[in-house]
Amino acid sequence: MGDPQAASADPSLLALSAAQEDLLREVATIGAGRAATALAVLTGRRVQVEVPTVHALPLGALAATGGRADDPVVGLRVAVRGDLSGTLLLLLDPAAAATLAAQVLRQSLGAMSLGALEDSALAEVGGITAGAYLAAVGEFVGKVVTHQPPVVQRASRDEVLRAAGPALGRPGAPLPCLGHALTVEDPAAPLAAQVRWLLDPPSLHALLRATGLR
Amino acid sequence: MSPTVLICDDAVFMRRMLADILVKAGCVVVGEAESGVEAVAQYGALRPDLVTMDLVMPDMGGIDALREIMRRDPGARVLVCSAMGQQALVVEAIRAGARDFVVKPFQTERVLEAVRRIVG
Repeated sequence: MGDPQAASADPSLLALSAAQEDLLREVATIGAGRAATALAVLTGRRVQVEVPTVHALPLGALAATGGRADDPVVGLRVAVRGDLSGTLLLLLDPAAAATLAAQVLRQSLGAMSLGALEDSALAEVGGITAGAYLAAVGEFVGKVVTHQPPVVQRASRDEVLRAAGPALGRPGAPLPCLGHALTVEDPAAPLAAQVRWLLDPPSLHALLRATGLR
Repeated sequence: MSPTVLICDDAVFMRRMLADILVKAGCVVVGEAESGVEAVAQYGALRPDLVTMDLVMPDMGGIDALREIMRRDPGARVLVCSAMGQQALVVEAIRAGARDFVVKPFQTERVLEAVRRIVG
């Protein structure tokens, strides 16, 4: 996966061929593409998808990818279940999360008050984008992948990543993570969101087996 | 007579959105449930003409709630509204008795088309 720190931590996990790394980037792109389409329908705005990243790092190190570990974020977290498991995260800075909630609510409910429904709208954004992401990946690799109800967490990037980790592998061990940046167009300023799919190691291997690349 | 509807979704935002669509279409929302367990209980108490059912909910998921409702009332009319649009899950829901499956995020017209077809 091209990361010296990760490679020294767990060579067995990270001994991936160029073809396997390429496949994981393609999986991430397929998932993020469908998630972006869903987000565009929800917000009524154009959503851009950036190039994917593939990392295998301990959770603490993952928190420092795409931003500072102590940055405050709103994390929309879903536990992935079914033939593949792990945690799917949508990370937003708090201002972007508030604007995104407002976009979704105005698009859907007109002049309704935003405050009381904001977290519910954000949870629904998390659930819908996760559902779209996982459906696309599941269809691509021939697996049935579901998820549990979304959780909205307001904390530092590090705390949000660590909350996603307990069920995934050994503490301190590197976790495979497929990432994408999404940008939602907005007249004031573009809204940046990051998608992170933390796979448990057996699911990484199942994903590769399903595509014939392991 | 206006069709009665029970809306089952764990997100209050989505319940409000669906209620808005359904009321404008002439339906009467008689109940809301935020888990599969609540959905089954409220279906028994309210016997609505239509149930909208999310699949990802706490306590009991939508597929299990759908199966339980169909077990108790084989004539129940359930419209699944879920972001989990994988073909295998759609087939599972239809086999469990759902009359239609609308994938979130949905267009209003897609919901209305399904409702009209199910409850006439």
